[in-house]
Amino acid sequence: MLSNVRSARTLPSTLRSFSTSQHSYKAACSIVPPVHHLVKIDKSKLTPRFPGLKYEKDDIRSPAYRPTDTRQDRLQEHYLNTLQSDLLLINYRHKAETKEGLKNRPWDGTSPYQLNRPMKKPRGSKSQLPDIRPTKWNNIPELESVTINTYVREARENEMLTISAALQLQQLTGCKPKVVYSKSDVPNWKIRKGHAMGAKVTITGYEMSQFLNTLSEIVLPRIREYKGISMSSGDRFGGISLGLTEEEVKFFPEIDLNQDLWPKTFGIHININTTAQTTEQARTLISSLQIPFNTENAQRM
Amino acid sequence: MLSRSANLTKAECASLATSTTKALGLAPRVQVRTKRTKAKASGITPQTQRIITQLSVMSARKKQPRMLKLSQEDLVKHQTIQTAWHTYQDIQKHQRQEALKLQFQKTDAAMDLLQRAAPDVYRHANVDEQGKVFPMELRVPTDFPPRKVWYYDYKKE
Amino acid sequence: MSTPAKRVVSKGVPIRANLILSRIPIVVPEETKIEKQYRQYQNALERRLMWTFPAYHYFKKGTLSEHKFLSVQKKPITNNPNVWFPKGVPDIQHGRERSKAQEVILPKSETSDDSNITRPVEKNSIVTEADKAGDKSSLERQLRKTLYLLVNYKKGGWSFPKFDIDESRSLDLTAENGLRKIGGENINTWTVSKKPVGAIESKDGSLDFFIKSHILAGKFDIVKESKGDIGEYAWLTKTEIQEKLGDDYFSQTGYMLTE
Repeated sequence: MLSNVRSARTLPSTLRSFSTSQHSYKAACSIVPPVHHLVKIDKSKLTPRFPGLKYEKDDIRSPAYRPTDTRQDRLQEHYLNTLQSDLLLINYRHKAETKEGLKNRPWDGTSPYQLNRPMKKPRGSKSQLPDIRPTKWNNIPELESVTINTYVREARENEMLTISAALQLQQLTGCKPKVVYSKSDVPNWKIRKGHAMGAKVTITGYEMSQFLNTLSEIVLPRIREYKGISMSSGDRFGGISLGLTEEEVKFFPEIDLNQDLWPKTFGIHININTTAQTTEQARTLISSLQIPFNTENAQRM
Repeated sequence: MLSRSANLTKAECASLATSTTKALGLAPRVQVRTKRTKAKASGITPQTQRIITQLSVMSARKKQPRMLKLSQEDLVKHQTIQTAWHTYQDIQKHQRQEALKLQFQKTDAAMDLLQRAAPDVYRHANVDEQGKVFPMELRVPTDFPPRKVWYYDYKKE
Repeated sequence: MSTPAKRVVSKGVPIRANLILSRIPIVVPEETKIEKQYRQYQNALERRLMWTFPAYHYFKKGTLSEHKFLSVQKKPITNNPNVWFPKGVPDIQHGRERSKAQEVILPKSETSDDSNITRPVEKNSIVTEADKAGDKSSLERQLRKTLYLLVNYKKGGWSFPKFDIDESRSLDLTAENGLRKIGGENINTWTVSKKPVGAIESKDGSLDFFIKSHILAGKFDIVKESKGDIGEYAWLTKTEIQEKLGDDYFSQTGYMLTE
C-alpha cells in the first residue's frame, strides 16, 4: 500500500532558506565587479537567537505552528462521499476536448518595426484567457477558500468603525481579519489615500466549512423572501460572490446571541473561490452545499 | 498652586498655611491621599473605551500562551504521528482518485457503447449539463439525526 | 479504437435503463480509529495554543452575568516567592495560566424553567427503530451509510430497478418514469445526470445502462399492478448489496456505489 503513495513526504524539520532574493523584483543590479548585495539576507534566520524562525510553519517548534484537522469536517466528508462523483458525472462530456482560451496574437512580420514588439492583445479581451480542459477524475471542482470583506462607507469620517467591522469578521469566522486601506485619492467620494476603509479575511479548511454551514443552514433560511444568489454572479474563473446587508448579518448566531454588543453591524461580501474552470461549474458545486441560486432570472442572463 | 508660583520651600509653605488658618480661626486641614476611584484618563468616552476593548479582543497582547517546549523524545513522537497521518491521508486520497478514475473510464466506455448501439439515445444523453443546480432538499449530513429522519408524506403536485 | 466501433450493434438490440437510486447519508460517517485519535491529539494541541478567552468583551463589567461567569471559573495557582513550584513558576495573565490550556466553564442555570437559558441539546440516537427491527425496506436505517434501492424481480431475482427504453428515447426519463410506474407517484427524486454512469453488455446482446439518481423525499412502495413482477424491495448499503447480488454482478456495478 505504501508503494502507491506518490508524494514521499519528508519530516517537517527542513530548514527555511534564508535567501529572500526571489521575492525582490529589482529592475536592475550592478554587473560591474565587485558586485554587492545580489542576495538579500534575512539576518533573523542567520542569528542563533531565534531558532524558532528557522522552521516551517507546520513544524511544532515554530512559533507560528497551528494544529490542523482538529475535528471532523462534515462538509468535506459530504463532498468526498457524495458530491465528488456526482460533479464528475455532471461535468462529463463524451469526447470532450480542450477549449482554448483567447491568446495574444503574433504580428504578421510584414514590417521591420514589428521586431521585438509585444504581441497583440487577444480580440475581444484585455488579457489572455485560460484553456478550459475537460473535467476528469483529477480536476473535479472543489472549494478552495472563502474571502469575506466589508467596506465601511462611514469610515471616511470615523476610521474607528473599521475596527468594529474587523471584529465582526473575526466573530463570524474565528480567524484574524486585516484592516484594508484605500489605495488612492478620490476627491469626489471624499476618500483619501491610506485611510482605513474596511476589513477582510480569507478562510480555508474547517473554518470555511463551518462558515458555509452556518450561512446555508441558519442565516440564509432566516432572510425573508431570499431568492438566492443571482445567476449573473461569478468572475468567469470559478469564483462566485454574494452579499449580505447589515440587517442580514444579524442572523449569524455569533451576533444574534450578543445583540447588545453589536449596536451597529456591517454588511459583508462573501467571495467563494473554487477550483472550477467556469462559472457554471462553480455554480453546480456551490449549489450542492445547500446555498440557493435564483434560477428564476436564469432566462434573462 | 501657591507654592509653585511663589517658589517657596515646603516648610515655608506649611508655616504659611498654619498661620492663615490660625488667623481665620479654623481647624487645621489635614489632606489625606486615598485610593484612586476614578479612571486616570477621565477623557475617555464610552465609545472610545469600546473601541479599545474591541482592539484588545483582536490583539494577541497578553493573550498568547507560552510556546510549546518539547523534549527530544516528545518531538520524535510528534513527528512520527504527523508522518503516520500524512501517509494515511495519501493512501486515502490515492484510493479516492483510483475510484474516480475508474468511474470516469466506465462512463466513457458506456457512452462509447451507447453511441454505437443507439445513436438517438446517445444524442439525448450527451448534452451539456454544466451549470446544473443541485436541489435544496439534498442536505449536508449532520453529526446527529434530525427528529424526523425521513419525510415520507411527499405528495406529487 | 476503430475496431470496436466497426462492430455494428444491431438496431433492434434491447436497451434497458437501470436506476441507481440512492439515499445519501443523513449522519456523518463514523471516524476510523486513527482519525479519532489524531483529531483528539490535534484538538488538545489547539486548546493548549489558543489565546486567552476575552471574557471582558462578552460580559460587561459589574453585571450579574459577569459575576456568574467569573464565579464558576477555576482560579489558577498564583505565584508566591516563598513556595517552590516543581513544575515551573506560575505565569498568569488575564487570569490564565499561560503554560496550560485554558478551561472556559459556562455557567449553568440553577432552575430548569429559566427561559433565558437554552434547553440542553438532546442528541437523537443514530441507531433507529428500523435498525433495531432489521426493516430493510425503511429509509430510516443505516443513517451513516448511503442506501441503494434494490428490487426482487420474480423472474430475474434481486437487481437494480430496470426498464426497457420507451419512446422518449432518453435513459433518464425512462428510468424516472419507470420508477414511478412500479413504485407510485409520491416520490421525489433528482437525477444526477442524463449520462449513464456505466453499462453492462449481456451475452444475449441486450444492453443495460445505469442512471444515477438521489431520493429526496417520499416513499417507494410497489403498486398493485407491479406486484405480479416484483416480489419485494430493499434499501441496502454497498456491503449488503455485495452479499445479495453475488460477486459476478457486483464486480460490474460495484464501482458506481459508495459506502
